[in-house]
Amino acid sequence: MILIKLAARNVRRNVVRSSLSLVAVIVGTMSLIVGHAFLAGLRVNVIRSQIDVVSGDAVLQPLDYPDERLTHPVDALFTVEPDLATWLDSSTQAWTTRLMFVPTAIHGPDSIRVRGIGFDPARDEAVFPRDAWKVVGHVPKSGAEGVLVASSVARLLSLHEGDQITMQVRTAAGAINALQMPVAGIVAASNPWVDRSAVFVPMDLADNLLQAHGTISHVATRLADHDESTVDAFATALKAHGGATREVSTWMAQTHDILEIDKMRSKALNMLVGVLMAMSAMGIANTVLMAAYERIREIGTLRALGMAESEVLALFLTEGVVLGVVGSTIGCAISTAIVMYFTTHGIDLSASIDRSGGMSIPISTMLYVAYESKWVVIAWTFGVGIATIASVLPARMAARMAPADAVRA
Amino acid sequence: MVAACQLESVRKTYGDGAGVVNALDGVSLVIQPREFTVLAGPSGSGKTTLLNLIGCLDQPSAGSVLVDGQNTSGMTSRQLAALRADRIGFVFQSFNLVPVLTAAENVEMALHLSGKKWGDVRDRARAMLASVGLDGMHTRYPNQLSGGQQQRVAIARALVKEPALVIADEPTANLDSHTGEEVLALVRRLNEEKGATFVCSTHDAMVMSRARRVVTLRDGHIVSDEERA
Repeated sequence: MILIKLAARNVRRNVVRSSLSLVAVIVGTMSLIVGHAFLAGLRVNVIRSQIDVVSGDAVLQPLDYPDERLTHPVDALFTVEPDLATWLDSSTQAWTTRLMFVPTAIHGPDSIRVRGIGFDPARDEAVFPRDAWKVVGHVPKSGAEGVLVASSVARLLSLHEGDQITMQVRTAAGAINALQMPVAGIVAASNPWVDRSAVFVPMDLADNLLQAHGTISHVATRLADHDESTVDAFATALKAHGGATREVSTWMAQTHDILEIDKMRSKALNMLVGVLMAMSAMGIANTVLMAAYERIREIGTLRALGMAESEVLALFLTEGVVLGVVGSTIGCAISTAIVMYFTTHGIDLSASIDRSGGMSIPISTMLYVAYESKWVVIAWTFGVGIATIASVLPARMAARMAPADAVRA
Repeated sequence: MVAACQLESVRKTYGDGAGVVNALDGVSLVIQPREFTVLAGPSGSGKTTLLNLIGCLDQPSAGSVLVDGQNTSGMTSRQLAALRADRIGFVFQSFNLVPVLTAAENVEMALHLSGKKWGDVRDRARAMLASVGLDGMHTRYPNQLSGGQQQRVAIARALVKEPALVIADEPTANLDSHTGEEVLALVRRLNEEKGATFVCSTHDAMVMSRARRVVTLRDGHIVSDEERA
């Protein structure tokens, strides 16, 4: 107890030096916690966006379906057989059909290629929730009501609710077809995959436009549990029921590349934190070493009073540990507060997504960072551990001073 | 009766080869309990080396040193530390108080390190401070005390654990003559009242005049050993 009291007071003895060492530890622990919270938030964002907006948990689609942006061939459409529908009813929380195509949207003199999403008005919302959608007008319940246009498309084509838009496509048979239809609503979904290019077309209207005769391009499914092993098992079963000419793609497969980049970012962050922590370690080693050199006579006195080498070692180690514990605790507390704030309030990414032109990235424009308590534990342990290790050499040097020399230094 | 300290043909050398220095050469000395002994002699005579050996801060190159009947030759660093903690008190020229501890905590530190069970350490430390004339000053830090008061705290720290031997290295050298006299009077009183054995090194004629025994060293040898009334 007396050792801890002495160590704590010694740490306060040189406030500036101790504070600088503390700042180094605080910055290191904060980098680890806040950095990983942002990466985890990004990861959750990508996964949630993929599931809620793009594919559901798993999607049944034609074999070798391309995953390039704005490429949706309509030459291998299929129907959902009654047996498959029955199995999907019993095996999923919800499922829906989609007919994806790439029409040219025309309004007046302006035209652009867009992502046509033929959707089943009765089923689609159960798979792709619309909680984050902001709709001016309404979501059409049938082709007679028209289409729902994404905000960026509406802006580029100067479209407003009630305007007429012409959609021109190459049909499933290869012919060119065009239809004029009203704009039932304009949607901002907080997701560039939708906002930058989508036009939602009720299935009956999409079928008419593409002359698809009841065929579709995708069956999207939603499960109660999005866990990877659950989705993998479901995907295997869906593949077995889906037929040889179709393939199953899960949210994991569709986000694989992005999440791999995320893992690399995570490694890079760990390396950066490693460098920061090494700098913290040098700061603490220097602090303890300076303390030892400044207090040679004091060490000699304590040794003369009967303090053993091991106790002097423990005293200086404790000083390093006190710096580590205080610095890590402050770092963890500040970074937890920062992370908690952004967990609730989020960060608006729309400007940076607009600048990057990230049309094909499934990511919500609001990034909510993810608090992971394991990183708080890791950062605290790392901070204290580094401080302890950094103190070992100076502490040993102090412990090994000859008391007869030290006491009269 | 066991001698407080006994040295037998002690030699202490530093360096090696042509650069070897004999700091002490064949010194034999017995200090009985309750004695107040002064080690005198010019600088370089070996006073500090002898105090280091008696205080178990160092070990002899040859010969034997017994403190309270225990032979320190061959003791490990840990055993020497334990012997210092239990049986030896130190008073230094520069007081050597721990600056981040209060007067009472400096005294308590000696009790904590002694390894004995003392009951209420805080009460004992305060009582010891009161006995050296520092009643009510137990919460002061060393930098809030005068030189004389700091040396009194050091004396309290040395005596609080009831050691067999108190080593005082030039205890009045950093004090003005008046304060030095007060501190010396205190040491003499404690020597008589508590029966503490003191070994002091000094150049100070006043200290030598108060000693019962003066051992004079020159060039690592004892050149005189006088008993005084």
